[in-house]
Amino acid sequence: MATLTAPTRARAVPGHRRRAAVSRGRLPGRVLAYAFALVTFGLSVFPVYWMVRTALEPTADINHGTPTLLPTNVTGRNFVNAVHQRNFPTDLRNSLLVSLSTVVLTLLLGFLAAAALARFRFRGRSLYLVGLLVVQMIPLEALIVPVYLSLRDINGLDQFPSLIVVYLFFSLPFSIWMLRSFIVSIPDELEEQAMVDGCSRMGAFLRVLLPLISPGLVAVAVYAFIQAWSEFVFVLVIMQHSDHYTLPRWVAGFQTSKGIDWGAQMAGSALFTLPVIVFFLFVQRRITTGLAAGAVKG
Amino acid sequence: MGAVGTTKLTPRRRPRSRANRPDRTSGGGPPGPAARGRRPALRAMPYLLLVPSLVVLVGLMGYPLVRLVVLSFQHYGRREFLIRQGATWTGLANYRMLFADSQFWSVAVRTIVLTAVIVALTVLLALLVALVMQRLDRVSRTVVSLGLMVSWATPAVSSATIFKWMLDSRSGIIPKILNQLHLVDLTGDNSVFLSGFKTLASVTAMVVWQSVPFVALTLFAGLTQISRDLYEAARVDGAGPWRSFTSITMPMLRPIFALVIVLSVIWDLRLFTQVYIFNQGGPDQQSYLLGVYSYFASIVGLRFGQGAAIAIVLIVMALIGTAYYIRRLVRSGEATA
Repeated sequence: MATLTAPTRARAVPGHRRRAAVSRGRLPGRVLAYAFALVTFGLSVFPVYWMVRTALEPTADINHGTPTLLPTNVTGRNFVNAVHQRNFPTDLRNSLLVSLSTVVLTLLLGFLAAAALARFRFRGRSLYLVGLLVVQMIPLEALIVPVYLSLRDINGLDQFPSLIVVYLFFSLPFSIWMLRSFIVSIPDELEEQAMVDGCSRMGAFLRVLLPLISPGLVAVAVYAFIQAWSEFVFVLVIMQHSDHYTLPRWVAGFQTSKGIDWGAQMAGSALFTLPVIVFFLFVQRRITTGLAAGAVKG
Repeated sequence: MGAVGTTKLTPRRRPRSRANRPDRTSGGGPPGPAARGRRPALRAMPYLLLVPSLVVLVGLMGYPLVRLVVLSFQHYGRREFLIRQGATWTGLANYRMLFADSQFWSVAVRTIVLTAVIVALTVLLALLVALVMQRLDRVSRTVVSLGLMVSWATPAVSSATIFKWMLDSRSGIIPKILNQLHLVDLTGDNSVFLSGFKTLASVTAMVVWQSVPFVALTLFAGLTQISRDLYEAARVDGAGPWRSFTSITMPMLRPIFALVIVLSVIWDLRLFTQVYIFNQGGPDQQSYLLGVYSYFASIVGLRFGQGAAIAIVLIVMALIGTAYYIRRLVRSGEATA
């Protein structure tokens, strides 16, 4: 017996120690891992930090000082300059108009489509689902020529609805996938019960299903907002009059003027960027798993 | 994935049961009595619900795609644009002109090489980050992923602007640091923006910076799904860390690798905003990629037929790059859903 148990125990003990090694690694390895993690973190946040830092520094220091990690003098001047730039209020208003309209329409159309795909079996359903994924494989930047010409033919250039529809198109496929997965996870007995109690099918969707998937709706809303808020290519192509630009073009527009005021430029970028980052951190978990699930699923 | 088993029951082979039964993903049990012989209005309901989104999707994808193909076979230039008619069918003329143009070939090759480099760097770095994250304690791991998300969330417009500032040849932080280290001189006439190669190198750095987070977090999520027991068993069998990495980690991550590589290929082929804002495709069109090239040919140069042909090349590239994945999607679509 002894000969039998001894090797077992001998194997069990180092095995146990090694198990700890799986998760954390030996000491030099762990130090290396932490060092690498620190570098990763630093590089990830540095550009955004540098934007904020520059935005807070007086122009003289920006142009002539030796850059230090923390600014020696701090000022709010750059933000004032940025906001007083030509067109800031108009472009902000345009951005909000376009983004919020996109959000509302995405939620509406996305919910209807997701409900159909999650709660009915019908001819063409799998085709539609696969189509949603394939659509995302086509580079939309390749469609600027026909979109531009078609919009011109119907006098749709330089019109906000055109831009809103394009953004709706951007955010719909992913939003439908995400909402569908939310609806599938909710047992349909709840709606059936409501229908037994006299609700119509649509009434059951609206009164029972809609409130239950509100976390999904929030995630979709934020996703659609970020998409529309940050988009550049189609504002560049579709919108012509500078009173109709959205903020991305305003941010990019700083570039072409002579003698760039980097402080104001970074302040403007910060005003444009920071809300996106905050929103994103707010819903990232849903978007991350959604992106992976939507794509892996198929 | 769990739905595959039940859903196989529905389609093609049993057309009658398909009509409008509520989706019971939970089991393939017999449909309730109410599910049979519903009113036609109810049978039409899913289609009605889908119509609005379908209109948007087809209107902005199907129709433009068809029009793009048609345009690429037409002469549609300044004159046709201004008088709004008279586009003439010219067969392959646009493509012939394009393929005879040496600039097209250099832009096409540049697009492919740049995409390959960016995707390779992104996936390698992301794998490294994911493996490292696995070795951190929970708090540090959360901190690192928050950092990653900051770069991920930054809109392309902002990152292009920020990198432009950081690379500014007079006061930018990167030239200053590199000068201090006596590595490369990027000041004055050596500015990044005066060289096509340096512009593209900077675009690469910028895009990799922005793309690593998604890939890293996805790979990390995949890593956490691999059972500890596998590593345990491998160790008992005498496998070292490298061996278990190549024989367990990599094969288990393969589907996720396929996914992130395909997505990265599409996203990086599409590069437009960064290149445009960064240096407007310059200097001297030396940082043109296919998307930007098509934009300047058509919207700016009013050579719409040619711009359409360039766009078609871009789409074909994207389809080739993702063919394997799309085939898998379509095939599983026949089984699933």
